[in-house]
Order: sequence, then C-alpha cells, then structure tokens
Amino acid sequence: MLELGFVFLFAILIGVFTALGRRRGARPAALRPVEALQSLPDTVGQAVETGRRLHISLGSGTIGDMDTAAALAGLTVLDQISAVAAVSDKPPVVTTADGTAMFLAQDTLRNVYERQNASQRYDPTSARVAGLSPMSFGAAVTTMIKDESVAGTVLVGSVGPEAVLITEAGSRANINTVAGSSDPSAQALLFAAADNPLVGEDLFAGGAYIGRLPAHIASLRAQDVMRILIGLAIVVGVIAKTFGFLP
Amino acid sequence: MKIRFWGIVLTAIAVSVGLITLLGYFVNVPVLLGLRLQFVAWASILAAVAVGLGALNLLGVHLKKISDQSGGWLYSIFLVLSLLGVIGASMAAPFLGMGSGPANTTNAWVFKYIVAAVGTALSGLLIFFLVFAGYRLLRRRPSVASVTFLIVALVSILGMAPQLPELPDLGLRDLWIWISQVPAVAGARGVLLGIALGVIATGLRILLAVDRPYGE
Repeated sequence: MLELGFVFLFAILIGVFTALGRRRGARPAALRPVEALQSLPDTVGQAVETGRRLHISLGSGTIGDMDTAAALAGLTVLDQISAVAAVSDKPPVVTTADGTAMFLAQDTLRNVYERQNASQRYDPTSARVAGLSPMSFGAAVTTMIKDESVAGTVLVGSVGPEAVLITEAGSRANINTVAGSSDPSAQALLFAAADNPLVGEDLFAGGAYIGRLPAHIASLRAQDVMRILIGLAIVVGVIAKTFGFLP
Repeated sequence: MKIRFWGIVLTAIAVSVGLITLLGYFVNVPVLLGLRLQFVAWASILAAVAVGLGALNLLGVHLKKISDQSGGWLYSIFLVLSLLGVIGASMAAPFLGMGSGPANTTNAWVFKYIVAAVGTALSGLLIFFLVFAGYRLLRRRPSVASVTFLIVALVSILGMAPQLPELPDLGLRDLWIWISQVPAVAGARGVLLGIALGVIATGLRILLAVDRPYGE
C-alpha cells in the first residue's frame, strides 16, 4: 500500500507540473464558480470602507497533525486577503486554537505589512490564540466578533461543531461568514449555518481564486483531473468486482 | 523582487526536512528512518512549547484588553483570574498532597466540574442554533440542495426518534437507515476524497517551496 501511495503522490506531482507548463503564456484560467470565494472581495471591501476589522480564523486544528494542510490553506487565504484588508483603519484579526498556527499567522501578517512598507502598523496581537480547546475557541470567537466590531468572518481550517457558535455570532452581528472545514461533519453543519459555505476541496482553492496564483491554479486543475481518474477507477473496480473479474 | 539570503536558507532547510521525512515513510533505509523519527520528535517538542507560548499570547491579549478597557474587558478579568488560578492550584497540588503532574486532583476537578460541564452546556446549545440556521437557510438560499438538505435532516431526526406504538409506521426509520448507509456514506467519501487531494496538493506545494508559510 505504501508503494501505491508513493505512485499516487508522484502522479499528482506530474499533474501539477504538466498543468503549470501548459499555463505559461496562455490566457487567464477560467475556474468554476465558487460562490463563497467570489463573495470575499465584497466582504473585504466592506471592512475597508467601514473601517471595521476583518476576522480570519484558522480553526481549532493544530499544526503537525491531520489538520495541518487545512490550516496552511487558511494561511494562504490570510496572506491574500490581509494584503487588501491591511489598508483598513483597523487591521484584520486572526484567531486560532494552536500556538504554532498563531506564530505562522503572525509571520504571514508581518510579511504582508513589510511588503507594503508599513511595518510600523503590524501588531503581533492581531494574530492570537482565542482558546486552547475547540469549545473555548468557539466561545471566545463568539464574543470577539461582537466586541471587536468585526465586518466579516472568513473561517478556513479544521474546525468541529463549535463552528456553529461562530456562524451564529456572525449571523447575530449581521455580517457575512465564509466558512469551510476539513472535517466532513462540520462541513454539513456549515452548509446550513454559514452564509457562504466552502464545500469539500473548495477549502483548498483560496489561493487559486483570490490571488490567481499560477501554482495554485495548476494544483487545483491537477486535483480535478485526479478526482475524475479516481472516480473512474472506483466505478471500474466496482463493475469488475460485481462481475467476478476481481477476487 | 528582493531575494533575502535567510529566506533561501529557511526554504532549503524546510524543503530538505520535509523531503527526508517523506522519504522516511516510503524508503526502508535505516538512516532515513532514524532522521524521520528525530525530526518528528523535535516537532513534537516545538509543538508543546508552542502550546505554552499560545497560552502566554492569550494572557497578553486579555491583559491588553483590560488595560485598554476595550469591549468585553470584564470577561477578560475572569479569564486572567481563571488562568492564573488553575496554574496556581496545579502548581500547589503536590505540596497539598493532591498528586502531581497533569492528572493531579485539582486539575481533574477543574476539568470534570467546570471545563466538561461548560463544554457540554455549549454543545447542548448547538442544536438550537442549528434549527435557526436551517430556518435561515431556506430564507437565504432556497435551492434544490438546501431543500434536499433540510428534508434529509428532518427525515433523520424523525427516523432516529423513538417510534410510538400508537402511531402508524411510515417507514421513516428504514428510510433514515438507507440514507445514512448509502447516500450519506457515498457523499462523505466523495468529500473526503476531495479533501485528501487538497491535502496532498498543499503538501506538495510546500515541499516544492511554492508556498512558504515559514516566511519570505
């Protein structure tokens, strides 16, 4: 099985490179519409215009385990969004439940301000640990949305049922909430509770949609191709097994 | 774009460590296996330190809120007092004969009677929030998907509820069992497949130094 995993990884790698090679000099990529990600510019614009804060959450997952990739997807979104939101009177606020993710978020924000030659505006407390357990994290973010005059919430990371507390707080504050989680059960909750839910792998598509980053667009296309191939393999496997071609 | 020397060094270290750890899983070479285990051990130590620093960050943010008297600062006083109280009680526990380490009697009491109780109460609230969310969903995004979602939720709730003998059997329990075993499992696997592909693509972008969350 390990060898199969290695082949699988390699196939994705080749797919990314192939897609990257094809994109050079080509027209801008047309991506399928994802309503949640398309709503982000309006949310960011509203935060800047009204002088309120944008809240970006990396969820309650921890860096170093299964939640790492989801938190890193959240950092990509943070990098893209905060570059625009940083010009607001109030800088964006980032919440997480993990110390390591907090350091990465602080580093991302610091880099954004450095790129804009506005290092003096960087505030390390903008990226913070809201609570160290999932429920305390959810409860703390709930009060923060009200107390810190938040104009919109973007939740990209691994989060459990406590996500409903956050979306409910957003709903009470009458702000837009874009939310996605790598936890399938939380995704079902967010589908009902969030204004703009990110479903499935849309969670990882932020870099391609917001920043139009070539590598992210290429990897998104590689994912789409791989998903079709895996789907076909599953269907062929089921047919073969049904008719006795497989043991 | 200005390329910084330390940026290149950090990228080289991160990519090398990532590749060695990945190869340690796939290639059965003792040196690689040893390096992988060592890197994972270091990462665990760093993660533990980060938890402590995260708690300090939490304390710093709330102390700042109290000094600025910004919105919700009264709650921050409770948080700071609770944090210091639990740390103090945990440190004093060995001297009062209440055991030592993370599982001492005071810690166990706090977790059982405060953390778990409040957590359970919050979890109980979620069902009410979800009912409101379902109602708002129909008003906000009336679509085939949202109507299907709500019908399935309703069937599942009714299917899981105890069957009263006075009422006729409408087959809701059988329908719920079928939904939970066939379409729900298929959908969950599809979602997991998409997430797994996203995870692999994200990991590869970091291994290829396309994404550098550890700095420029």
